[in-house]
Amino acid sequence: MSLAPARVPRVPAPRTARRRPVTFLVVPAFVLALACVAALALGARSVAPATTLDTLGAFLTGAGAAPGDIDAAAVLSRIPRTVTAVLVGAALAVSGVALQGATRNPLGDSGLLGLTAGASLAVAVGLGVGLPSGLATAVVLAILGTVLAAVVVYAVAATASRLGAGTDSAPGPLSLVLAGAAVTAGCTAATSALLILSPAVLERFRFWTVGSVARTSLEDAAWLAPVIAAGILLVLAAAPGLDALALGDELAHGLGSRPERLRLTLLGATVLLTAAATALAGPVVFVGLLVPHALRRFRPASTRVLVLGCALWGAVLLVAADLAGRLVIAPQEIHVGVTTVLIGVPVLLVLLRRKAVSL
Amino acid sequence: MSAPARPAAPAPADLPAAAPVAVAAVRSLQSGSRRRLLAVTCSLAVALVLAMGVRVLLGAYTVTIPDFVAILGGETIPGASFIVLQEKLPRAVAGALAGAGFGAAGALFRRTLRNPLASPDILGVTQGAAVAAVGMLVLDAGAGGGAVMAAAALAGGLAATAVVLGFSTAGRSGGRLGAGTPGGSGGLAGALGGTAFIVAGIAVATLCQAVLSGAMLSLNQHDLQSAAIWTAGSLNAVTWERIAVLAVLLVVLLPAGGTLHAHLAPADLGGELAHGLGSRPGRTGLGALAVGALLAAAATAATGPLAFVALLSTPVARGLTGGRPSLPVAALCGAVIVVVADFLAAEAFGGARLPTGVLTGAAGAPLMLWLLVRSGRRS
Repeated sequence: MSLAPARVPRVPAPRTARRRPVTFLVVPAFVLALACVAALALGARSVAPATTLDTLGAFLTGAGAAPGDIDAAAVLSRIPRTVTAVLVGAALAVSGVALQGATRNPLGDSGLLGLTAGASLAVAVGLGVGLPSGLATAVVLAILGTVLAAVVVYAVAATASRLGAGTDSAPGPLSLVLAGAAVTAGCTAATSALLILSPAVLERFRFWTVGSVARTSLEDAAWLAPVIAAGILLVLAAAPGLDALALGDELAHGLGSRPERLRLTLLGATVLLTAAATALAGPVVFVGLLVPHALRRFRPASTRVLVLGCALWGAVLLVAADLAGRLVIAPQEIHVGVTTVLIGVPVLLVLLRRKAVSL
Repeated sequence: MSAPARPAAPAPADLPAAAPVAVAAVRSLQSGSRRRLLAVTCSLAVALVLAMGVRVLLGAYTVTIPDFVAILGGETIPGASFIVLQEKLPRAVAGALAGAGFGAAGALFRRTLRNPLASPDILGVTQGAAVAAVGMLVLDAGAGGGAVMAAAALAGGLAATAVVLGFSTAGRSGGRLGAGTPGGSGGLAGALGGTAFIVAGIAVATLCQAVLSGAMLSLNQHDLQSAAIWTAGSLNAVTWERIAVLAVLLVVLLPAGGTLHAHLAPADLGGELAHGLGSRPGRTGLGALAVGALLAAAATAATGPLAFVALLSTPVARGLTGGRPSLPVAALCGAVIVVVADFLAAEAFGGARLPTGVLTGAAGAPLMLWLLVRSGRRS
């Protein structure tokens, strides 16, 4: 029994190759908890962390705050927007992973591809023709608008790519982004036409033109939380197939997965997540682009872990963006829709410059 | 592409007998193409005059031609004088000038970047100019005149172009002026038409749009309404002062743009061949982009960002001239498009007056999608 041959085949795995799933998920969960407490405590009236936690405990156990307790009232008033930020951030980041996988496009982001603009236009049209302005109507309209925008963008980009390449290949990133830009411009023009033609809609809709978590209620968030959870679960279930899909349709087929069905599942989940997030917070873009690209640099152990990590870090990003927007120019606010673009565009430009996003 | 390719087809050098015939054929083709260009330019000019005439004379308030001539002659007709001189005539003139600016800018970008979809309104130039102009409005609260706003818009448009250029010309190791990588034209000339350039431009456009809408939320209801109309692109707010500023800028910029546009003709053959022909596509292209950005920004300062005018006037112009790129024709197309769109936006929706940019945006988006499909077919 010789020891030497047994040792030779053991090639030491590269240390940085894969992070452990636990650290990959525990760290963002911890950061998210910290960010949420900070978001509840800080603002126009800052509250001590201990008081914040007491108030939060009282809120969760159902005991209301004592009347006249201004600190507790401040914390309670910040709960809806923090919950919304967590939900919207998770939904958008996961929709980014799904969209990038389904279209094999590094620039997959529901805002960049025109889906959020479609959702906004549908909601504005709904308000314009006098539908009741409840959340349910908004969600249904947003889903309709998102589906319509997705179909138009994908069909145009696919036609352009097919005519260009002469094969039945998936649409290229540039065609998708250009089609998305066209749809965004058209939908924005139509939305502003509606707003200018009817001032009543402008008053109700003006905050929809920029994504914001400042005006949501806890009931709305609770109503949409199951939708977002369902969307994330759908992506999680389809996640193992994403790796096969990345190799191309034929290879994926050879590996035993069904590319068409997988793509449909992923796009369906994207539509669900985008529509729910837009109905809650209006157009918030670039979250779906930023978070997955940042996380892939840390090499997650599996695609499922990547999806979960995206959900957590996306929530962190939006909570932090909301908090920063409240603190920087207090008592005014920068809305999250603007903050995410301000963070996202420089990152995208640097990625392009480093050629980290191959086109 | 088709015009430079034609002379190469006939007359191999070893057939001297055929040479005069071939030369005559080439000459007739060239003069035919030139004649068509002239005819298109003249008919577009006539169309522009007609459109401006319709804009001024017809509509909800009609003016007769004798009245119009009398008003121009200095006579005062109660009511009509005011409406013509303060409302209808400025809008027609501003629409024609701004449309010419957008059209010329689109032609310059199109030729430099060699991509039918790369136009100043997609690449963030007009949005950058709009952000700077609105910033001036917010800071100065309307105290700044037309010249101040125009200067801010010019700076904003140039800055947006510079940012897009700076972040997309990463592969500079191959030499700045088209030293040429094996795969095609490299260096600056190669980067100018590249995918990264367009994506960076779309990103900058998104950024400026977000800053714009974020700034607008901090306005009160009255200012919001007017700012919303301006940022959608509208001729409502034009004054004779703004028109004068725009006219002066166009007088300087249009000839410069025309010269650069003509100098870029060899670049249609590709960076390397153009370099071999003694042209410097990188440097000339950079100049053309700068002049194009200034043209688009000057037009934006007067009318707000009129969506898709720069994008659409060049393909329309090329369709009319049979594929021959021409800056004057593109500028005239832009002018006709804006004047007609302004007339429709003001008169076609009953009492409601849409901003002109909303009409061009809503009508332009399907056309851009169609262009996208068609550009795939051609390549």
